[in-house]
Amino acid sequence: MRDIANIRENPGKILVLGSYPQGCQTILDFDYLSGKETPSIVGIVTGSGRFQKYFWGNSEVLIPCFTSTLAAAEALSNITWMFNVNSGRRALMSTQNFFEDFPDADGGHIFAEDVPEEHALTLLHDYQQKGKTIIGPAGVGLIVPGALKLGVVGGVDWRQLEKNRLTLPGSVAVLSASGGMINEIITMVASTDHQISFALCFGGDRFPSTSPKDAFLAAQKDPNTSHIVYYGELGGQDEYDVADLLKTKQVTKPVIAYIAGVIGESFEQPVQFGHAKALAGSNDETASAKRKALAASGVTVAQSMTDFAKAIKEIPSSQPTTHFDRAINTNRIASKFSSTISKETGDGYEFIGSSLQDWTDRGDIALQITSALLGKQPKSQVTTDFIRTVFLLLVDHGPQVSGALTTIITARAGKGVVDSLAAGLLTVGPRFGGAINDAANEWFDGVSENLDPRQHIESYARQKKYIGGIGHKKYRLGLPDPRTKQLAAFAEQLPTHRYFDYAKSIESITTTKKGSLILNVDGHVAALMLDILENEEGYDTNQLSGLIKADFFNALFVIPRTVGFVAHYLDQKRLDEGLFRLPDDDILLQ
Amino acid sequence: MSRQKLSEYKAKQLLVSNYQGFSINLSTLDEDVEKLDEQTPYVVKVDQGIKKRGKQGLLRVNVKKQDAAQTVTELSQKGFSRFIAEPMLVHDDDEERYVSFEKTRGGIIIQYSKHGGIDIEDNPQSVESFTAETAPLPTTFVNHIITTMHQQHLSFIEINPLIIRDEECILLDAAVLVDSAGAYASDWTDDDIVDVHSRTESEEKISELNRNSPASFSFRLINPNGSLWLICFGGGASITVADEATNQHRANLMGNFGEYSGATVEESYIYAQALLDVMLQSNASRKALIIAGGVANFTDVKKTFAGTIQALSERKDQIVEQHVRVYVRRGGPNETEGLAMMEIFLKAKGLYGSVHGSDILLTDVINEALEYIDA
Repeated sequence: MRDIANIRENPGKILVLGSYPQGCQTILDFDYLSGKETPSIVGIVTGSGRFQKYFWGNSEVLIPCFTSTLAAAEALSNITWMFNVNSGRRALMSTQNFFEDFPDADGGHIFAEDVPEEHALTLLHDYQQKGKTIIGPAGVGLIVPGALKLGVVGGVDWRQLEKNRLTLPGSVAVLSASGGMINEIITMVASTDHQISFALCFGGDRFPSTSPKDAFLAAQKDPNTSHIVYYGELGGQDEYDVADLLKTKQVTKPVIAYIAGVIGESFEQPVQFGHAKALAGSNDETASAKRKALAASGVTVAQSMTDFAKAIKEIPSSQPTTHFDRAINTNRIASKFSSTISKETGDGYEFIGSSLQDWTDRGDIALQITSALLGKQPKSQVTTDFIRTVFLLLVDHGPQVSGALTTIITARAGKGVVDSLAAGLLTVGPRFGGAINDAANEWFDGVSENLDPRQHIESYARQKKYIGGIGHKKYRLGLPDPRTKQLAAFAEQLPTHRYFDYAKSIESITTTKKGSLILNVDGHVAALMLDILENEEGYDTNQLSGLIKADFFNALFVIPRTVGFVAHYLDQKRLDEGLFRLPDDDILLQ
Repeated sequence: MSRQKLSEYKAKQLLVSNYQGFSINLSTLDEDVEKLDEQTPYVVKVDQGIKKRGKQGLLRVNVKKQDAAQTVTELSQKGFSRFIAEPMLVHDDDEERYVSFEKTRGGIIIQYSKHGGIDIEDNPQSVESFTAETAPLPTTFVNHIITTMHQQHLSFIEINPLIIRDEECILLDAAVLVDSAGAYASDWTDDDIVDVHSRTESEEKISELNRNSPASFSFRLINPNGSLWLICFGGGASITVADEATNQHRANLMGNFGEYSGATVEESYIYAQALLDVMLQSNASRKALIIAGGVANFTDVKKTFAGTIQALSERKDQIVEQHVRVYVRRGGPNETEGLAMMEIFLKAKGLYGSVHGSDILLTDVINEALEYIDA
């Protein structure tokens, strides 16, 4: 088990496995009240969402979320602990994944009750006995005042942390099998003007990774700890190990203990109490026998809670050494909006991680727009180059198309730039300009579901649906679209391009049916954008699927075409064209 | 969550290949007995996790098919409903061995004695500890048992007597404890768990609540005519509160024992309903309801109290009529709000005994309730 003094010195960062907002918030509140610069939780592995929003003191922070520990490992380094809030069934597997992806991590806390014994023993052998520190399974974790809160120990309400001075280091170690009682005892210690050096709850399961014996040795080794207060229960043999530690002088600090469960001796048949281990199968597992053994080894054993409180009160008092003057408002309220794009800074504005001054110094609008689309600056030059090419190619395809014509008609009705542009943009949809996202969806489904291209086409034909990204009214086999050639050249810059390959395999079939059913500009943009995001920017399939759901690929059309629409609007104003009225002959009236 | 007794029938199905025994339930007696073979003499035993069946007369040997129903009916007179019939194996007493396997922190420990049988407890010195490698038993047998323990989440197996003939090991009587947390990955189910103690309606209701919730609940009726009734939060606090009744030599007044943790409003309501119904049936002359817990880490005091209050208010006329007083001690998230709500409710309905937060010791609330009962 890791030394408590060492944790106090260098508490480290936490990755949360599973979603438990209340459990995360309390760790952030503890960090803030302890005077930390940044939260100790740096990531959350959970199925949904990109970020979770938490209070950091009286303001808020976004903590990034990951779909797997592997994805977290690609983005984060220097993780020391996991806070594993997965269910009992998933506790072992999620822990194994964590240590596979973070082999250098020190350990963590497993919160779940109902972890099978078989799994608990695997955790013990594979991790704890190989030098990791796992608190649990079950219980409420470990708290080292001012340094680390790993679990809900000490309470989830920040007022509890403040009341019991859990951010200020003290000298009484509290060790307990029970999660509820550890907080009760922390409260007893704090209410008698003491502060805790650390509190560790090993949990009431039969095979906790960190055993009571480990915890006692840690308390003995910790220079800040002067006294040990222990809560145990009937069942199991742990107290005999503890008694041995005292007898053999491996633990020499004064110990005050309460062993609950004399009630168990009132029943004829052994009774299973709340915790898994709380069943006295034999006489030596009863509370009375264990109290006797501890008393014989020099422990102050309380016979009642009243005695226990009295013994705690008699511990010589120590005063706080450090004081943090941070406070949390009693009525803090979560914000209604979150943004990661831009913010005002002291001397201007920051946009996607750089000041506007930096952006102008770099002078690359394509880079800036690429960053805007990704929400972060691209890793690869190829991404920016591709998007630049797409924009240059999609800027305008003549005044006849729906969007441009609508912009022109609106301009001629005397409207201004915003109205005319908006009118044009509102035509973008399933029939006009909205095919890139559809195409991306098709190529993505085809590749991720490993669909046979022929079946893919068949299913579209059966539903009488067009395949987005396929077909052109002018270009055909033998008369290639010069624009697609420029786009296709990007495939050569990529190590792999499975989406582009898939799109091409579709084209090779559709063109045998009809020469005009070629992979068009939309189809190229969609396929190559997917390949670039995957190869150059490291997006996984979950992230790509998220982009498709967000209509991301249509933004590649809307941005350049906005320029085209504005051009048409200004052109109409320059030409001073009057109000347009459609000649009667152009409408079939019945 | 805990180790529980598996029926001997299920245990042997898991441990013995080509198992020849039959399960007989009182409710399906005729059709179960019909499966027995006409020629085979059987041993018929109560299958409810009871030890020393031989000494207690819960076992009959040399039972033929035509007498089986009668034998089971006789055994059921002692309050049992679950039985097992196995082909009788004729053997000498000195063939009987004792063996147990237990999962421990250090691995599986095997205890073995050459002097098995019903008097094993008189020969504790003959039982020695071994590991899988050192046990003086056929290796294939040991490996088979250990593999099954891992695969089926079995925590403890006791076979007494065990008969060994050449390489063949025959399990005459077997007692198995399973790890209830492993049920989802095993071939046994909740129906295979046996209980010596037959459950009351309220106990059954809480047991069902426990099975269907991520929170944990337990409830045990100790004395139907008890005076002290407990709604306790948390595994540790519940024992500590009950200990105090023992310290005051009043454990005999306790109506129930139990605990719950991590519950929602609705679950708190269901739990309180079950408890209040048994409390109201108690014919003790004075009764106190204790709602107590330590300083919670994460359980919202206000939410759990909302459910408790709902159940109390539905039965308030009867509770008032029986002069029940309610004593409360609880801490944790939303402590101030939850306690204030409880105090207002109890005072308005005339049920108020006392309401405390973490300003008093957890166990002090028991003493306040005892003062009322003693007065």
